[in-house]
Amino acid sequence: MKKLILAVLVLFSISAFAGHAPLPTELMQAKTVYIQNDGAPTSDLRVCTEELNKWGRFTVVSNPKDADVIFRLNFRIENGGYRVTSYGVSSTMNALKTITVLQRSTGNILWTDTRAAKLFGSPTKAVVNELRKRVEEQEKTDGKSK
Amino acid sequence: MTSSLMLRSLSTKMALAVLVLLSSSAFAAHEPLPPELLQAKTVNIQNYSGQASWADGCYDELQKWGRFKIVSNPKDADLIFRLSYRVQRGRATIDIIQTSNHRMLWSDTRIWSVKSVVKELQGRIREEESAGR
Repeated sequence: MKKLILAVLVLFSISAFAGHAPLPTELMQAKTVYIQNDGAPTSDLRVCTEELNKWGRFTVVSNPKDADVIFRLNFRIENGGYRVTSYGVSSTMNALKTITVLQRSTGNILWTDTRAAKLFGSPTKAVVNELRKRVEEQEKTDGKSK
Repeated sequence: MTSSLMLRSLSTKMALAVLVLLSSSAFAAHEPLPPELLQAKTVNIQNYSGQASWADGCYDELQKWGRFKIVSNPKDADLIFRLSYRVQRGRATIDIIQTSNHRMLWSDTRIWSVKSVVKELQGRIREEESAGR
């Protein structure tokens, strides 16, 4: 039994620390960002700008022509299936916020991630922080390999 | 023969027929893969799914497989692995596109799993190469 628990713990820890796909060079070298709102609430635009300014890695510009990368904010509602309770069956909806990072010059997607809106915490903030974590992680790895 | 014995014999035959059908479909021949896919050496992953974890899963599976070199610039790639999310909830699709002419070489969709699409491709390439096509 102990061995089984140990094996499960090892498996969980492996999956928790599973590697991320490397970020493209164009994203790692980008200096300027334009935030494009593609149907997200304006509050998300504000949160994204605040988070990027807090991070300080990129300069947020107001003209897309001056940007190395575009942060495209998108919002969609998705059917989250059905919830069965003692009161009956109700359908659930998920509000999903996506940030897609594009290379301005080519339109290639460099990175993307989505979070579902929850009662507390901003999904937009969570996506920017996820990117921040990955960029910092990659800089460490690149620094080690040099 | 009593009716219960006849029924039992009939149900055994039906179960056998279902098993034969299932096994024959499991080993059904696949359409041959294009030579451009079999000869490709470099791959670029483009993630249109909106899920960073799907690119991670695809990258991880391709790394484990070791057949292709994963490159960050699409211009350096023989193939593009384009990940996307289908309208039906949680359907992961990988389209494999030849970079030089944008031709779609192969595509498959699975529920929630990019990794299993890569594994399917791996199986098919192995199958084709062992058949010496």
